Amino acid sequence: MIGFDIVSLTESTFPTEDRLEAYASKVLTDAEIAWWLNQADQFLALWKLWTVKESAYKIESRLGAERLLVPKKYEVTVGGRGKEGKMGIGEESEVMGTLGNYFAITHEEAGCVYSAVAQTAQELHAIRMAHFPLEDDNPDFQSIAVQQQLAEFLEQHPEIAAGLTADSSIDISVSHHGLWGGFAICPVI
Amino acid sequence: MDRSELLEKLKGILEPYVQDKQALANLNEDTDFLEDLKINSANLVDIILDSEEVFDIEIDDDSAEKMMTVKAALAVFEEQIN
Repeated sequence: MIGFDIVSLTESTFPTEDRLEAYASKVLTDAEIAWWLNQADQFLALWKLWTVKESAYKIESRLGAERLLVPKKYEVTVGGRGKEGKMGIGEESEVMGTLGNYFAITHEEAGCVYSAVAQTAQELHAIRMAHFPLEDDNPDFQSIAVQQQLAEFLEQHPEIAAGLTADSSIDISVSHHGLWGGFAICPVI
Repeated sequence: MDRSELLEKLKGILEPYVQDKQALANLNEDTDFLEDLKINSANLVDIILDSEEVFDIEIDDDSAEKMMTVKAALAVFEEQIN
């Protein structure tokens, strides 16, 4: 099972440094704060952690976890255990959630940050992700636009779409925020 | 501060984050922040921070985790203020 979350950076700015710190104190654990304080770009680092947490939350929601605002109950270790603190393009992390531990990958693009989380490392490495700008800020229209992009992706990748009709299946998670949308797709392994 | 005053103040707090403005006009105790108002989950944290500022209260993690509906938010405010 996978989860995906995207954050538009232009819609997620903070009016002051104090507000950024207050926000971080509400969503990050003590261990995450220790990592976060050492990051050159704390704004970006915060949203990277958030998208990982939110993606893991989406998995757990599907597993039956109670619907609560509990970002601190998802603790992210950037780089994964044994490689703590390492960052880079397509950086990986591990998440300790309320129902289990998960594997994550995060990307940063001009204007947005997005992450996908999987229950296994094998699933994580099989995930395909896409992100794209959206023209309409109406959330209902955005949902439709994301579904259309997903349909186009499956048309262009029949080998993945085949999973929808064969004995196996594929797992999909979608997200939109601000004027950005995206999805993660993974064959069920 | 009675419940109707709390509700009006909450409406003002929610307004910048609401994507479905019609739903905000029909705000009531059963309104769900995510499902009905289409508020992005990241903005739930902003609502907690703004509530702390408006009511001059501190909302701890245990209280914050339930603040996903109008009814739950009002209950937290009442507990903290009174």
